Amino acid sequence: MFSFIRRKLKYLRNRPKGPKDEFTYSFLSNNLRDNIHNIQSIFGNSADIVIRNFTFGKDSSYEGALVFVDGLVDNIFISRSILSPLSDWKDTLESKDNLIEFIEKQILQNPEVKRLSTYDDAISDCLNGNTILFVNDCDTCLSISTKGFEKRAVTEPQSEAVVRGPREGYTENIRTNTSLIRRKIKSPSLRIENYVIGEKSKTNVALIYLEDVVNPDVLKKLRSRLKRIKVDAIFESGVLEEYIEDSSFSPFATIAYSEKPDVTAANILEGRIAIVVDGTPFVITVPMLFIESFQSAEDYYGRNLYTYLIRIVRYVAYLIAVFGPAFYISLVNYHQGLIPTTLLVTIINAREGTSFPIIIEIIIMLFAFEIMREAGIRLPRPMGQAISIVGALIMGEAAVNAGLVGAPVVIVVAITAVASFLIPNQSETIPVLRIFVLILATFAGLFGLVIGLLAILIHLASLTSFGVPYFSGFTRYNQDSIIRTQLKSMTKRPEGIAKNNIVRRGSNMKNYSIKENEAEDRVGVQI
Amino acid sequence: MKKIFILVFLLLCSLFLVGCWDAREINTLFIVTGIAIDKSEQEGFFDVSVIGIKTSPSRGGSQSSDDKDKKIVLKTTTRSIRDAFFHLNLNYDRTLYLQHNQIVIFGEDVAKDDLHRHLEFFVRSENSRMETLMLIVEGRADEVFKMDVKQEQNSTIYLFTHIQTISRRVKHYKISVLNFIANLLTEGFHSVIPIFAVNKNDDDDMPINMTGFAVFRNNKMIAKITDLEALGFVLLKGDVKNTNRTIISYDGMVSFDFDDIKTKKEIIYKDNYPIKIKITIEITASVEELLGFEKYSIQDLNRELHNIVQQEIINVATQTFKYFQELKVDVFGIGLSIYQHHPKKWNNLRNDWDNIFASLEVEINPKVVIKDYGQIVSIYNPGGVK
Repeated sequence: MFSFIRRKLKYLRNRPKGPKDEFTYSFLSNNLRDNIHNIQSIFGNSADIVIRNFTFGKDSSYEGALVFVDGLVDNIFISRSILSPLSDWKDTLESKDNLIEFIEKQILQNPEVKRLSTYDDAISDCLNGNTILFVNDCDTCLSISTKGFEKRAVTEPQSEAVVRGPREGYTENIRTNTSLIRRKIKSPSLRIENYVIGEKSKTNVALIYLEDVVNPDVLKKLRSRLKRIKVDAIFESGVLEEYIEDSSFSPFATIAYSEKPDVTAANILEGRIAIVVDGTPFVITVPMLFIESFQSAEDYYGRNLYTYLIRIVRYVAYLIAVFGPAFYISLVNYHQGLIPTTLLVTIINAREGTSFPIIIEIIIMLFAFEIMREAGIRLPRPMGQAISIVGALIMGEAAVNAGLVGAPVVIVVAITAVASFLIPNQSETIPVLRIFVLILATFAGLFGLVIGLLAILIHLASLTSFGVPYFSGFTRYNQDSIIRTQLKSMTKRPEGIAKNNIVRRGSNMKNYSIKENEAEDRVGVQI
Repeated sequence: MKKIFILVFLLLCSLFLVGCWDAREINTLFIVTGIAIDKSEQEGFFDVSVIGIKTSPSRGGSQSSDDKDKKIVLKTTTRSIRDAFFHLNLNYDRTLYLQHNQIVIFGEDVAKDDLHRHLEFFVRSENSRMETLMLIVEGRADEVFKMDVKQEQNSTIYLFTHIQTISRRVKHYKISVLNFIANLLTEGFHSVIPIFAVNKNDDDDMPINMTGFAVFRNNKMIAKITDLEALGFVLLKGDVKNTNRTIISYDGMVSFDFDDIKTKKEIIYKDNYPIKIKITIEITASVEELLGFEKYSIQDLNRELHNIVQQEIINVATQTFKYFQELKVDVFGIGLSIYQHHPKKWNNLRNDWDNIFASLEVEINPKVVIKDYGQIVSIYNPGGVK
């Protein structure tokens, strides 16, 4: 009687807050048949739920049942690690009270077994790929880890190909993904926190961070935002992103994503928090700075000077991608005096005989390009190539020859499009900004363009990512912004992101002169 | 959200407040590349001609247009330049666009009359650029537009390119509207403008020749200098990258390239004496052609060439200076340098400067370094050139 009240109180204390799910939270019964009946009624005779009744012990004196979801478990593993040891046990116990404990501790050989007392926990574990073992006359059950569903192997990421650097990418399995990160950072201060988000999907979400480096304010914010999410399902980290980001109305993404464990690991080492969502190979990291879009994994694996160059190329490409068409239209429609005479004549020659105003030409080409791109992405790869050929021929050649658009417009849109491919992280931002600036430039020429630039800068300066100013990466304290300084002199983590542990590496590393080389040769390197 | 609305509202306001709704489709523009101004037969009227590039549809990189079809010339006769453009805009389907105008060409008659009245428009108008080059043409300026140029799109672009090329060597050939107006407003300084003559000979493809400089007293052309005086002018002005001179002496003929000509003027005052001016001309010369001089050893030749070139510079510069003294125009800026360095003395001189300039005593002091004899050092004379 008292134990019942105690259990009831314990349940009430730990009961999850919020709306109740479809199955009621109640305790398991002593009776195996009742338990199985209840389970069956909760699952509503779903075809993939397997209930396996069996007997075991001396003279088959004990009854038991296994409940698992077909497809989520490894059947061979179940028979080898649960059924076979149970059927091999031909003994009896004096009291049935500690049977379940006996099975857990002495019979089962699985590394991960836990005892559950509610239907709620049993069903949740069952749906996660565990096998639930019910035994007659016991009011607890055992949840045994037997996950064995099909999963994709660790392969090279599709969206972040590298010439030099690790080629492994995340998979759809959360545990594989966390293990990939754990393999990169073998520090005991790496923390992995588990969350279950989604009333129906029950998606596993893991936060990964370095406890001694992470900014506690950011962590606190992130935890509270995750806890606040009440949705049916989370299938992709992008969905989660929208629920937790600071300003979902902004064209700029304030949460970074990657498909590569080395990128995530580097971010975690700088003090960011990685969020791994089960079912997607894209791991997101917070907080994000604007400059992160311009950094690539290979920047750190390649030569330092080349990185200087390529970073600058990326920034220029970004400006071209956003302001290219707007700049062209303001020059051609408002400030013809700024174009060199020969070029102006060439542009006029191309414009002669085309029927639309230049803004219409540009809009036609931009839309055609977006259509072509979308078609190329969605279609299977062989057909996508066909689309590119049609696009290149029709857009590039036929449209010009037919007099629909002038050749310079095709060139401007093409350069703009190619430039935007250099910064994949901003690929969803650039088209929005481009159209915004284009409209302003159409109405007011370079004046409009400058207004647009100022508006974008003001917006960028006011954005935050989990309380960290989004545009703060360009300060002089940041050793890795417009240019990547030498790794030896990159001694500090980005300010604002890491809080407790700013120093990243010692300053005792330097470029070795010939003298020092000779000295080392004489004495030998002392570590 | 409220902030965003305010931002959008301000953006829209700024769009409406800007007042520059002057978007023009470029295929409605007539790109003017040159303007020619001549005196009309009618008294008080001027012939204004503009030349532009004829644009034609180009598809897929192929452009089909005959060389002769590349230009369009529009012509009108009016009392003022502004009237001329108004009239041309009224009678032509496209809007005249002056910001790409490369050059303003004046006929000799207009230059001799009053140049300033025609330049006022180019300085004042927002559509025109003050950096536009200007030049004088012997005879009528619109003759230039009839020229058949093979290399460039039209004759004014040819002329512009030509002036750009030669001004890299001698910068005094490049006079813009702005330069000329600035010179007009400067005390103790008169201007020169390059003068060209249209080549009427159909046998060669060189449509126009540069003949020298037109010399201006204030806004009127009073003379033109050619060959020798032009060289003397260049030497006396200094700041020249490269020019050349062939000298024939008793012993043979030698052609020099003069590089990095630097000229220093020193003004010497003595009470009750005329002002004396000492002009030092520093030249680095190189021998480009050498015929004769067989009797000289290498060492003697250097000395002899040195003497020859120094004497030549003294002759040319003195002669040119005298010529300008006779004209009473100070194109070298001697008055300006007195004004800049001795403003009080200038106050006494300014009213009668032209006459004072005519009576200046001048001393030419050349400093020549012959640095280069070319690829061969020896003197050779296989055929015995006499």
